[in-house]
Amino acid sequence: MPALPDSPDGVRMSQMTSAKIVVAGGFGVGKTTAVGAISEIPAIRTESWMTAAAAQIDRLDPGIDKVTTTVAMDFGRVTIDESLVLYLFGTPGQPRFWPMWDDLVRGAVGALVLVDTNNLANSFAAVNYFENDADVPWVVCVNLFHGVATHELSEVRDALALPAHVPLIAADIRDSRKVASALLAVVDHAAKQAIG
Amino acid sequence: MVRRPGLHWKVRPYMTARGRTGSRSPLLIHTLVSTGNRYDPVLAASLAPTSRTLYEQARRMCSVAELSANCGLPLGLTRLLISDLLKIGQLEVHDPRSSQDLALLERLRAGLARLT
Repeated sequence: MPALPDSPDGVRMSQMTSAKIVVAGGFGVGKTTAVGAISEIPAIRTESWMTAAAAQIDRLDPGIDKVTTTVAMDFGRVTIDESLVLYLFGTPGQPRFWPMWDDLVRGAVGALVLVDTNNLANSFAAVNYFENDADVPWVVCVNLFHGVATHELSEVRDALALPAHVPLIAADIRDSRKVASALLAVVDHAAKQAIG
Repeated sequence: MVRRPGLHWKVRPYMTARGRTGSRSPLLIHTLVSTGNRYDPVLAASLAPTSRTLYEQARRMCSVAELSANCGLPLGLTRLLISDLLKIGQLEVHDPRSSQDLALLERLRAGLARLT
């Protein structure tokens, strides 16, 4: 793994700081892909909270072509400038991991909640969490799995019963530039909320 | 399954933690930690193996989550060992800026815009 920049241009280590954006959503919705697309380090999967046994139990619907599963959380890193690092944390999707979401979300700039229009119900829990149980700005992003939208965003908003103040966007999260745009939407929304 | 460094599977985390289950300082998972400019090889040699691994890893500044993953230690234990080293002044934490800080948000915006 490449190191963080070692005081380039006279930036002192003590000035280094970090920020965090959480990438949430249902199981198999593309959180790992999104984090991996933009991270400058290979997305790290930490199994800190679990035992390997669970890997045998978690299975996606047979219709979903996904061989590996996210067993805990993934995280990635994006260097923003010489003294600011952005960390991305993908939430663990399985219901039994929900209690640790509070820990992941604490101190976050905001959250990007991914949804799959072919399986909206899969992300209901994440939407519900950010609507009711968390205190961070959040943006919902329809993952365009094959680069095409299958539903109008207004239909998705209705189906998710999203409040009007929650931004809804769409992006092909395999593309790092699209992920950056989606994260930008989170930061913009956070700035609006911070202003008031 | 990839073999990871860290605790032997027979060693439960509470053994290394000597029975303690909570740490005092609120270390967020993205908080940056480093040894600063004063890495001390003599101190390193005197530490228990898990703490020593963590101390060595922290020579390069990284987040609590990275330390946990790189050392193969559970997050809770990682936080505990970090706070122990903080107490004896051997690690530095670089507290994240408030997520409401407009200057921080502006820097994030500029940095992300370059990637779009």
